[in-house]
Amino acid sequence: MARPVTHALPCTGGIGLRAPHYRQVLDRLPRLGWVEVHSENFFGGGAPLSTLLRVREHYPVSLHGVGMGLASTTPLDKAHLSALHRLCDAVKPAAISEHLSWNSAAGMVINDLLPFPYTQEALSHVATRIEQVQEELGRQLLVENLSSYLSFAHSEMTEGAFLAELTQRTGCGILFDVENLYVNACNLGVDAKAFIKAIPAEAVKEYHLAGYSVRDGCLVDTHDHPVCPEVWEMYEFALQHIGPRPTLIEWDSDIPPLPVLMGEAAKAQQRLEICYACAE
Amino acid sequence: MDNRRIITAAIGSLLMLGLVSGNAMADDKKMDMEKCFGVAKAGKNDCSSNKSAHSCAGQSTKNNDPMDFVAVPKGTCEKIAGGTLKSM
Amino acid sequence: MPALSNDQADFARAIVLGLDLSPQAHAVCPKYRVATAMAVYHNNYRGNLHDTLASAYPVTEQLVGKDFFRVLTKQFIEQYPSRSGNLHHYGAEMADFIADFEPAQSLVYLSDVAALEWACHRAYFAEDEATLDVSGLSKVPAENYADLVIHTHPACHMVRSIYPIAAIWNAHQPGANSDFHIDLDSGSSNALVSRKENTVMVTELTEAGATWLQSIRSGAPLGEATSGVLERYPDFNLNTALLNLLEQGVLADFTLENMP
Repeated sequence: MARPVTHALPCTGGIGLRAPHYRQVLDRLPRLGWVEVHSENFFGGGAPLSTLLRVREHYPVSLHGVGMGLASTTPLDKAHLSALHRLCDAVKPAAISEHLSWNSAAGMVINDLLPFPYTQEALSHVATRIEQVQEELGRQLLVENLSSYLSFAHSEMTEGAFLAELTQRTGCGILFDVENLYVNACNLGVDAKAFIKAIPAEAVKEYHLAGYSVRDGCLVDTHDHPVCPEVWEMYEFALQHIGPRPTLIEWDSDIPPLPVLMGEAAKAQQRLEICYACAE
Repeated sequence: MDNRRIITAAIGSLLMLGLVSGNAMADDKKMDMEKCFGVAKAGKNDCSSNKSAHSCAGQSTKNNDPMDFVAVPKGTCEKIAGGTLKSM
Repeated sequence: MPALSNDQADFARAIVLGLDLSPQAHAVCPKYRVATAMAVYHNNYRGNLHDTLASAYPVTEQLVGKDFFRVLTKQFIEQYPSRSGNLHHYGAEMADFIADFEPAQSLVYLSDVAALEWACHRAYFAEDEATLDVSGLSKVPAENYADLVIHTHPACHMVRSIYPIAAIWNAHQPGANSDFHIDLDSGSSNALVSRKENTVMVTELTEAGATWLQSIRSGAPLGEATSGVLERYPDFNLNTALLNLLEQGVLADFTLENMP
């Protein structure tokens, strides 16, 4: 019997649920630990929301926002925030997350996830914004580390230290995207192990895994390939230092058949189980 | 029939419909939900970098791309008669 | 917040214009040039907006072809930056843009088709709202029927054109016969966009029906809207109009004029 799932995300492999798979998932109800969707795609009503509510009857759902612009210096978009609030009330997601990025300046919105210098100034600004969002939603927000194609020489701390400080100041959680960290390690020389040690393990509530592509020597976070061996290795390192957490396979372009996605989630699941076995 | 009577009659027939079709409509509704579900259009918000191959690296942003000037619509507009004639 | 907001404003302009980030921005890429990183951001910016427009305007894209559509969106994007963190809000100005877009001047109907597509796009994502509760109507005394102000559903839109835009739109929907021919002289169109069971539909209204619905949508009470239409179109059948609109989920809540 279908019943609404209200508890937190299960500590298993999950998949990013995208439009090409809605029908198959609802018709066949395959064994999926949980699913994640992009929040903005379900703002409003009609077919998108009603589809998500049906999915919600069978699987725990995580809402992953891409448009809030936590680090933008323009005022927080109240209409956007209240649309997210309404969606949360309707879906009652097991987790809700946004990115550590900005998207609005000079009277425009850049619909992307943009990096900024990790300064004390930015830290207090982003902390205030996270608090505003958490207050509006009445719950904890998970904040995801960013894949970036450049960094800033005047950053005063690492992204890991910045995230750690944010969790201290706001009580937010961390969504640790392992592939984003790998992209930054390759592109920008970020010390991945230092990042993993810098973020507080207890604040990490979810992992993301995905594939990338390469353009002119730059790793681009395109979510259009299987997870590569180096990212699996980094994930295993994270599991040892942080511990097992719900783990999502993200695939947004050249989306493969559902069994391929489920196969990737099963690979994450195997590693989670080994991690549990070691802990016992 | 004056306008008042027309309105009374029209609302009256809506009310009649409401009385007879309550349960029948509920069943239809269920079937339609199943049938129409597949028309989902993909949401455009996502958190990956855009994959499109048309890299704009180094491309001028002024409106001086020669392609802009030679552009001629080449699509299904060919099947719409009079579409180009009317403007002449 | 001077430093952070200045950094972001510089970065945003560089992305939109496809420029390198100024050296003062202290941007660093150890493995490739900063210009390569900026090209990725610029490509993301343009690519995301292009894909969003292609999703909102699929009929327009089919009518002009992919190459022409790319030229059109490129110029649209240069003229209209995004204003929302939700991409589904992007592209509202397309009908006006096309009306002034020189290379598309020969396609006189294209702007109106784009207006219809935007109405459909908005209808798809519109908020849910209950449709007219007929049993609630039964509590209204018959002498007050003329004072009924009927609200339309948030997914309801009407686009009127001197060209047969509803026929053009329907001919481009998945599953429609691709072997069609439409004569622009076949007449005007009063395209009604509605949403039933979460499916967006485009249907045609008669001139009288469209005039009546336009009046209702502007807030006129039932009596006033109906009298106005009957003066110009004595054959207007209110009974049929109401039943059709109810069936299509166009009618939502009602209030009584001059009553709270």
